[in-house]
Amino acid sequence: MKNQLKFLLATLVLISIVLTSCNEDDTTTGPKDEFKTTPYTLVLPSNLPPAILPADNPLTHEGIALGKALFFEKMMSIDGTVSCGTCHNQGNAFTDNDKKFSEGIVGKLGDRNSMPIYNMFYHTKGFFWDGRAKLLRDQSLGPIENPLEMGETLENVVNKLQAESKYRNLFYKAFGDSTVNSLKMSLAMEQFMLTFVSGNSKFDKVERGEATYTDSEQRGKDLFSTEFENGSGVKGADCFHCHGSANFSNHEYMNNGLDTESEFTDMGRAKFTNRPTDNAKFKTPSLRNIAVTAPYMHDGRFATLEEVIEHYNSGIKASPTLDVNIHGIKNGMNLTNQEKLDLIAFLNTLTDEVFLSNQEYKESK
Amino acid sequence: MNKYITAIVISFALLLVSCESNSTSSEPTNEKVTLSVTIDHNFGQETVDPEVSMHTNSSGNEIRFSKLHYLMTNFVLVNSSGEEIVLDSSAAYINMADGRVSFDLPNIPEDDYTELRFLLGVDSTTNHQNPNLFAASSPLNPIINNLYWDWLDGFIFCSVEGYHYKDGQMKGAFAYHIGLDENLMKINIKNNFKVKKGTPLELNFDLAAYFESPNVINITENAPITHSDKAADFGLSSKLSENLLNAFSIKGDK
Repeated sequence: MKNQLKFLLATLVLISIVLTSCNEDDTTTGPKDEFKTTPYTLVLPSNLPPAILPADNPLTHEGIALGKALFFEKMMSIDGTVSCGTCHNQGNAFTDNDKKFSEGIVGKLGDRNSMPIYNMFYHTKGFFWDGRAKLLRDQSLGPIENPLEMGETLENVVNKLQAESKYRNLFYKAFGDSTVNSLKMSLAMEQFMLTFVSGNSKFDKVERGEATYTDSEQRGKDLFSTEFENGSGVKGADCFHCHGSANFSNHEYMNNGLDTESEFTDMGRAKFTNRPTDNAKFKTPSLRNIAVTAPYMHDGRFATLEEVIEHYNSGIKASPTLDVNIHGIKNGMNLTNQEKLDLIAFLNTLTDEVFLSNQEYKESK
Repeated sequence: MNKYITAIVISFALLLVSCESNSTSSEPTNEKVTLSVTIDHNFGQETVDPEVSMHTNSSGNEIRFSKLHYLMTNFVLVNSSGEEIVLDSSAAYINMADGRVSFDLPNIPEDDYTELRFLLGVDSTTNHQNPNLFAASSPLNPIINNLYWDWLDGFIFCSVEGYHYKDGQMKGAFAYHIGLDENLMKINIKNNFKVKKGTPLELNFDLAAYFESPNVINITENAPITHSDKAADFGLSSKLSENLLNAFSIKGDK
């Protein structure tokens, strides 16, 4: 009997060794065992494709909390006047309050329109109007050192944050180490911004069978997703080529015919790639929440959606990098006034009030 | 005492097998390897540099390609004994302009093969399933490939876009988007190739064949854009999908 017990014990010990022997990835054991993060599960509405999340930066409640504090932190700027949230206002889908260009430190004006922030997990081809940042974490640090935005150095920001017990505490909770550095800052801000989900507009509700379009909205949707000159005689406004997908963007860089070659003042993507074939190409913006993100285009040249639609209807200017699919409409689409109104009615169904007022994205008081 | 030894032996045996999740079973058959497949995009003998290089087709259209992207699925390899290695849920998304031109086919037995088959596009079931159910990293995730169009209720299988010129003067642009179940292309390349660890399989996509084999396409004589609606494009999409059957080859043949 005694022998049998010993045998059992020996077997159990050995099996437990076997069970733990493959746990090479487990880094939570060992000396840091009081440090523990809580995984955050990103839940998307059923009509959205799965999020493409970075494998090397898993979302945690603690990381998101740090990211949120940093997003609204004015110490990020040299004179303590500007945070990310200053030019990315939730009520405008995180764009800048109807401003063409944003005001940075001491009233300096930027040179590109502030971009919205939501569904960033669908942006697989880089960030900002010119794709200058490969990952969202890279983009999150850009404005800090931009002289027209926050005008600060990363080194100074790290030192300022390190001096605050609030941040030492938040960094410890998120990363198990109270040392502040710019990589951890960027990972936390990336996490926070990845939680911005917009998928509860009227459009989404119709997709899920929870609402129905008015006649005008339906006509607008049909125009939106029908090609121009399709041979069938059905009128189309050809929007879907570039603004297709569940996020209303192909997330690529394109020339949409704003200027002729001699009028190019901002070379867009080419500034970053140095390829003439990228001249005047800019990121295709998502059209979700488009009604609250005026003005429009990289330079905010159009104040209203009416002006934007008129551009595509009658204002396309040819140039060597004009996108292939825009070539098809360069001689004008002859949309009627009613058709333009219908398109705007459909675009208005993309406004997501749930997202625009979601308490989770608001500054913690 | 014997019991202790038995327990120790059993446990160590468990220990040894418990970490082997990544290795394949040790049947006496050939070793299975991950086959890396790379696709070169050429125009006849000329290398295609997206948005830069110019190529003249047999109709005299001078062409600058801006985009070429497509879906390849359901790969089948046939070995020299005539056995088919069927890779049921295999899929790849190729985007020439983005340099996404390679993919891996896992668990292929090392062997001599005589044939490679795949679908250019996706089968009808996959084409009409809820596109939001593909895994985030799947080549079929619409966010990855930008080839799913709601109005079509399915995928564009192969999209070729570019600009065309005459005597160096730009004449316009073209965008040929082949979709719809009826246009699904079953590609069948017969040529001997070896699957061996560390040796990639190199394929060639010939854009010259795309414009002339067997149907000669003159860009200026067709609609600049097709979305595969036969009534609207006067058969252009049918001709292009026929040509695409002859566009792929395994490097070294011909």
